[in-house]
Amino acid sequence: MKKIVLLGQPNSGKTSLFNLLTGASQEVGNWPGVTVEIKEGKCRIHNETYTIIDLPGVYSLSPFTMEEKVTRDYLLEHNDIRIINVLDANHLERQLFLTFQLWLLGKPMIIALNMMDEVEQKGVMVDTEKLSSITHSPVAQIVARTGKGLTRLTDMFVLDTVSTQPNHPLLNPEFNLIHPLFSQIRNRIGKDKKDSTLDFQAFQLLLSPDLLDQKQHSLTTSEITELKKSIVNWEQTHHQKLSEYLYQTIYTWTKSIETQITKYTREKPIAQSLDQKMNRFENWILHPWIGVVIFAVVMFLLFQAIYFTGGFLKGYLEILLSAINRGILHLQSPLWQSFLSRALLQGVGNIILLLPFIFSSFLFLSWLEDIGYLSRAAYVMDRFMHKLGLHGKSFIPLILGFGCNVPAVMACRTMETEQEKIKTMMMVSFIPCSGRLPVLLAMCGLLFPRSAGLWMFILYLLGILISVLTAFILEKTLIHSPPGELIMELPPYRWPYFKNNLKSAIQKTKQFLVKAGTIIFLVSVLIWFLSYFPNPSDFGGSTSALGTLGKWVAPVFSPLGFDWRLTVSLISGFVAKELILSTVSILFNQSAGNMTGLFAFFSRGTLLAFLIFQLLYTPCLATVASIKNESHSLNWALFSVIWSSSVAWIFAWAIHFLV
Amino acid sequence: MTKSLEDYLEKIYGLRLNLAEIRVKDIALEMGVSQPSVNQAIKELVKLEFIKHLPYSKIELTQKGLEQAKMIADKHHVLKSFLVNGLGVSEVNAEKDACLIEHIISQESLEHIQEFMSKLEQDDCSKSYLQEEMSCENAASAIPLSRLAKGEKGIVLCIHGGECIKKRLQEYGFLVNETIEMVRNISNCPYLILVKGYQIAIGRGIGEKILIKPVETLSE
Repeated sequence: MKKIVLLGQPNSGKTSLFNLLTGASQEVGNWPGVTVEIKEGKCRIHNETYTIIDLPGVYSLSPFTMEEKVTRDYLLEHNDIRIINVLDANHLERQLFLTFQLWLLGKPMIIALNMMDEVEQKGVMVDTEKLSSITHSPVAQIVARTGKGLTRLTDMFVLDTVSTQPNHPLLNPEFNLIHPLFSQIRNRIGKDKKDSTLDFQAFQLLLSPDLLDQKQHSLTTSEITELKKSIVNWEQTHHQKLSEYLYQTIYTWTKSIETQITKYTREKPIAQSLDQKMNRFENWILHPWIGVVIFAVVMFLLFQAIYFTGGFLKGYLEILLSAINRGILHLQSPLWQSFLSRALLQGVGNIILLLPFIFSSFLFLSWLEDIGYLSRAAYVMDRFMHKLGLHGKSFIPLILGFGCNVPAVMACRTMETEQEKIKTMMMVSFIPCSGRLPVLLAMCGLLFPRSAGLWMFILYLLGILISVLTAFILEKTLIHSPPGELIMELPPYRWPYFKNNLKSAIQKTKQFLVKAGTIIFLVSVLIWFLSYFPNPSDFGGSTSALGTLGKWVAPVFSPLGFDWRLTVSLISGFVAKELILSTVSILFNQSAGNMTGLFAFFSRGTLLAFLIFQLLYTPCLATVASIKNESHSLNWALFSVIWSSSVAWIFAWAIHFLV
Repeated sequence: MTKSLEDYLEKIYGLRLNLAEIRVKDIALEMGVSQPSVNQAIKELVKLEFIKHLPYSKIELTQKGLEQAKMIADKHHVLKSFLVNGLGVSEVNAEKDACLIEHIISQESLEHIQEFMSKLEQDDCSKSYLQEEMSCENAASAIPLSRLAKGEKGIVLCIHGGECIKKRLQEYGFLVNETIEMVRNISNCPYLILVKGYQIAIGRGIGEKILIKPVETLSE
């Protein structure tokens, strides 16, 4: 099967094109570097199936960041691939910077000029033919958001375009100062092997000589020293830094192409773009104080919207589930009846009821991301992050943490220093993830039926507050670090393409459902099993196997007013947060979606204490494991477990005591 | 493998870089030994599958031999450079001693020496790579980026700071002679700068490190 790799700078619309081609749905990031993983999808054109690969958006291929490393390694390790280079046609000068580097790889390449609608609105014409003849690659004009020009692009897949150009621009006269050095390095690293990417590798070494020290080029120590000497000599002779010369010359090249192929046809654009309209508000959105207020309002509206949409959809699911339950009650065998209604319907079913909420939170968050707001929020928050010894970029993992803590912990890799990385990880584990959402949703609805959305918001704020407090304490005690520096692009405001958001939200909800379908099902069955045996008549009672286990641990939680059943729920929540609610509903025999029966067992204070405890206590097993992996330290993983559990215990105790 | 075989392999590897074809007589000449003794060694090396050699033709290293030879050569180089650059031993004696030590030194000691040397070299490199004054000759007329007010433009003269940040900034388009525009400059918040058509937010610390020449903008 033929492999086609999508490559482009962040916000070039690469991921929209991926969605369009594969029909599968992935995140369309308006946020630099949202996709660190490599995504794959299938696409059928002219009776041939292609595998489409979406690599992270990168500004260049010099491996500074995780994204750049992932992308570069993928390109070097895979031979049999074609490249589609997606460019934001609005700013070709910077976009072609990446094209220059991709060209060196000597792989077949198609150039997709994206966002042609915006370009045309500005009254700019792009000469596709000319670009094609300069780069020796087929060029297509597309609008990835709407799918315009897609057929022209896919028709190019079948063309056998081999763009192993004899005349790469690096060999042009304008680069002649580095030609001797380039061939010296190329010959050295190419002495033992034949490799089509040697040009590219040699170029990389010119750009960052530090890479010479890495083993992959199989150079002897003396050869490395020799090359380094040559580079230093070059810099002294030409009185310029080598990398600076390269950046300058490449940008001169891209600029000249841009001037050659673009032409203004009209003086004034016909319509104002969203970005221009939003410009009036930009001063408020990025304002040091008003910006923060706007951020809080946006978040508040987000939770209200989630509650509203989710609640609306949930009603229909409830009708469905209760119909199934009626069916189950007709069964004769008490064992099966108990298994189906308690393990399946109450355990897994409860999570299914929450799918609408999870779906809508993904939907609205990706919408905010696409419109370009999230990176502005990071800009506004930068000032506060500085007080914690961090900068605005640490805000990215924190926002990701609302979805799931695991990718958020992994995103901490992009932090520049070790201290920032650890600190951000410790913060992430307090960010209420979507797994904690079920209990939050159910309990807020139960305790505060009239103002559930508001209370959700307050509880999320509490999570964030503790997260900030943790970083603050760490900054003052264990890891004091000078804050690193922020460099981040603020993408222009763009109307999100709702279909893309919808697809992306459906896809993520599906992933959540798969998780619910496997681990939650297994643990639900286990809990049902331990409650049913050895004494079916006392289901989940003190004489069941679960009761014995729970009572053994319960003394730790009795000062908080929790009984052994809530204790067991919390233990299962360590495996996956989603399990807390399933366990509670199995053990208390509460029907899905309506837990008012809990008031028979506990006071409001205890339930609120439980709610707060589950919000703050230890991150789930998967998160703890990724903290250990990413920090290379068991100590920090243990620290996050112990610290968060202690904080949770103290807060819950205070609530239980006060209310 | 014996010491002398290791020496032969190392020599073949060294000759390979200078000669198109290696023959027995080249090795004999280079090492100052008789051709029959070279032949003897070659036979044993062929048996060990380190080299390929048909009588009266050229000698070639196998992949296995290449790796082995490279390892020995590296060892030699590390030891020699440790003696010369690390300890200050004279070239001649260092060469001789390295030849003897390389056969008996333990892997652990070698690794430690290597680590020590790479640290030493790194210090050297960062010195030679970071010659900032080089590109900042006209720094006298320059002001830091932080002094630009909203809407003012400037031409980048030079960028101070670590290699990594510098490269990042250049990728985003902060090049020498590039005209940039300050979009927002509000105390405590990151600067927002328009460069190559994109708005880039950069931390206030970096703002001091980018030196620019202000451009007079015509006010209406």
